[in-house]
Amino acid sequence: MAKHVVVGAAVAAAVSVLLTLSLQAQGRQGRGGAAGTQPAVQNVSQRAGTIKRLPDGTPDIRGTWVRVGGGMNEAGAPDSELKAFGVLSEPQGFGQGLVTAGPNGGKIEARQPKYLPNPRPPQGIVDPADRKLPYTPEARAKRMDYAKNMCCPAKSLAYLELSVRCAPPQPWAGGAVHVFQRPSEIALLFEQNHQSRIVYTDGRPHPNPDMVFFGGHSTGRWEGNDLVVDTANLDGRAYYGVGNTFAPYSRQLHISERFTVVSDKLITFVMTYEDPKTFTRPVKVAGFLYPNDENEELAPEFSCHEGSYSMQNIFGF
Amino acid sequence: MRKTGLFVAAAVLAAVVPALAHHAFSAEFDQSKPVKVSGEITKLEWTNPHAWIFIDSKGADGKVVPWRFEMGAPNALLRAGWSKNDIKAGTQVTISGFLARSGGSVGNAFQVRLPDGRDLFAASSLKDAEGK
Amino acid sequence: MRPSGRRILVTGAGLLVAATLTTWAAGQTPAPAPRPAAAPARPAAAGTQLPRTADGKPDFSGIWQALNTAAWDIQDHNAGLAGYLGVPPGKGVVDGNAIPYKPDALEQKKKNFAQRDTEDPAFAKCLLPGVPRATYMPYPFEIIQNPKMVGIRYAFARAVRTIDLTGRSRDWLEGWPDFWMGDSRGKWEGDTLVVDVRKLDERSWFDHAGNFHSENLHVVERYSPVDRDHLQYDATIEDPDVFTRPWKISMPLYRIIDRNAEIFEWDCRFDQDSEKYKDATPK
Repeated sequence: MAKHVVVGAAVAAAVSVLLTLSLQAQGRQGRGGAAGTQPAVQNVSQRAGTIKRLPDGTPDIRGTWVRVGGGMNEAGAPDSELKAFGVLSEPQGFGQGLVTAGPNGGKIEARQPKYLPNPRPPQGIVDPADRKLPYTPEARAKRMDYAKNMCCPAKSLAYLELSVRCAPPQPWAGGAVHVFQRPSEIALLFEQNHQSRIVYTDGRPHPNPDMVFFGGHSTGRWEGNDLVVDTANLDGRAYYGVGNTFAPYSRQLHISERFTVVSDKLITFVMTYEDPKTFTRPVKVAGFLYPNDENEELAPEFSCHEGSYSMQNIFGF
Repeated sequence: MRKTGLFVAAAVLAAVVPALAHHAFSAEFDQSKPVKVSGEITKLEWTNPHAWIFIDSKGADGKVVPWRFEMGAPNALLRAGWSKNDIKAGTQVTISGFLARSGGSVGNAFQVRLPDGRDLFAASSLKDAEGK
Repeated sequence: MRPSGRRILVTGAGLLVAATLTTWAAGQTPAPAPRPAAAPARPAAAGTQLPRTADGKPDFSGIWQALNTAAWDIQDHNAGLAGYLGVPPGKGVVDGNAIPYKPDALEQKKKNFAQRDTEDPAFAKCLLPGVPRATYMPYPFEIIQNPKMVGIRYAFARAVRTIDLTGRSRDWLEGWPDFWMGDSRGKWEGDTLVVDVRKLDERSWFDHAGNFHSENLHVVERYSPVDRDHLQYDATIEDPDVFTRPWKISMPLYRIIDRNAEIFEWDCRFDQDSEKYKDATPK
């Protein structure tokens, strides 16, 4: 089952697995493979026909959106150099939060997402195309150190994965996201663990680089229909987890995002991760956003610390 | 093989979280210690990040042992069609799961089954794969 | 040289200097930078012109803070000991300074008060402060206003609220867990934003003095503009399980006019756990 990870995380894995199974059944590579063989996201901003606009001409992206993609679907993870991770795969029958039975023994009602685009834009790592992350030797050593010590149990608090600690996810959190837009800022209010991030579009600089946060600090500007965002002041504490891609980021981590408003129903994005201590070259990850069905619940509160027993369960006090 | 409907349901809930997004099953629970407990539901704690089912189980010696089992997040369960009112105190169930590392009668549930064999709750039996 | 030429030359020289400085600055690696001198804040008498949105409503967007001691005790109170610095003395914010508890609820309040230093969900445990306490925690918050929804980001515990302005139904809330920050629906009455808050988790407190509520708490907030940099905030509290009648709190909210002010991410519960478990060994 998922831990401290709502719809997004919980189902992220489930979705990927289901997609993998589904596509495998059709004799094709899984979702990750599809993303891996796709070219870099094309600039489709010329398809401007159905973009809503604010009075000043910038695209109007206000509303509640659902994100797909943006994940580090590393090829072969857990790979041979992380055999320790391989041992720690999930037990048979362990759920990712996705239920297969409904109330009173009945089947669950499957909801159709109203605005999920078809076909789907690229998701996951798009550069490098083979999805083999270009770790530095230092980063590889750190991965091995964590593989040895993070499970199970974790050797110490320092090796305990952050997801179980209700750490605020970065730079995107799961569930839906409310987007607010004002001339000086674009606010992202995420569902998962009520994380939030402001993209300042008023030209202000990032703060002192010694100020670091899980979610960092974001500034941005519009280039036509593209919102270009620069995120610094990240503390590099990756949201690592057992059996997951674990990229041991440093404080040099810098994330750029380019959001392309394709229509009022679709925003595609490419995130570029740069961290010279972790990767030998930038890594690009793609994904997209579609609008939440307006007739369904909009990003209900997901508090984490308030209801979590994990620390007591792990440490005994 | 999963039904298409279920696949679509999964896609509905599909806000994929970058890299991270992994639970901490192994940090908190022990996959080498499966457990199966039968008893009567006494309470449901319907709160994020995990709902908890409390059941009273009678041991062979007749002593009642209270257990609690961790379930998914209400935000996910609810979107899958659940409500807290579906899990009623007094219901007899058999819960299959894994023990917590810290010991005690605490576990993580992957199946909650009614006496007639129907599942009240069943977690996906799929292992995590690449592409979070 | 002709005056215009000189002007061009001076301007050009200025631009060259600026460009050089900019390039130089960009080329510098960001060493631990000294804090830049604070830019002068906007003059206090910035006019009474209220910012308004395109549809004529007051625009409350910006960073605000209550400047009182209500987070410690919403009633009149003396100084006391707590935490690092203790409780500052202060006038309360309750109309009539009386909270109309039912008798057994008053006993519970006293129990809470006796255990406040370990049991206050906000000050002791860094959990979400709930409504209305989030408004008067001694830290700023940011209102981000759009026509269909207002977002509020609070510095304390990264708390977040959204206020739905569309009038959509609350039906879907049935069966969902209670929300520590409640479910908020807003509408305009003239220039006042009236916010109706329900489905609040019973575990939050009103203050460090142990004033509390049940899951049936109903709060109606009113945000009214006083002038460009001040709001009047009133909240009516109703909880028939705990109180014999509704009661009200009132306070001004002050706009933070520091240049480039921001609400930074602050997860104090995570920090508390980091300290509490730093030497512990996972089982």
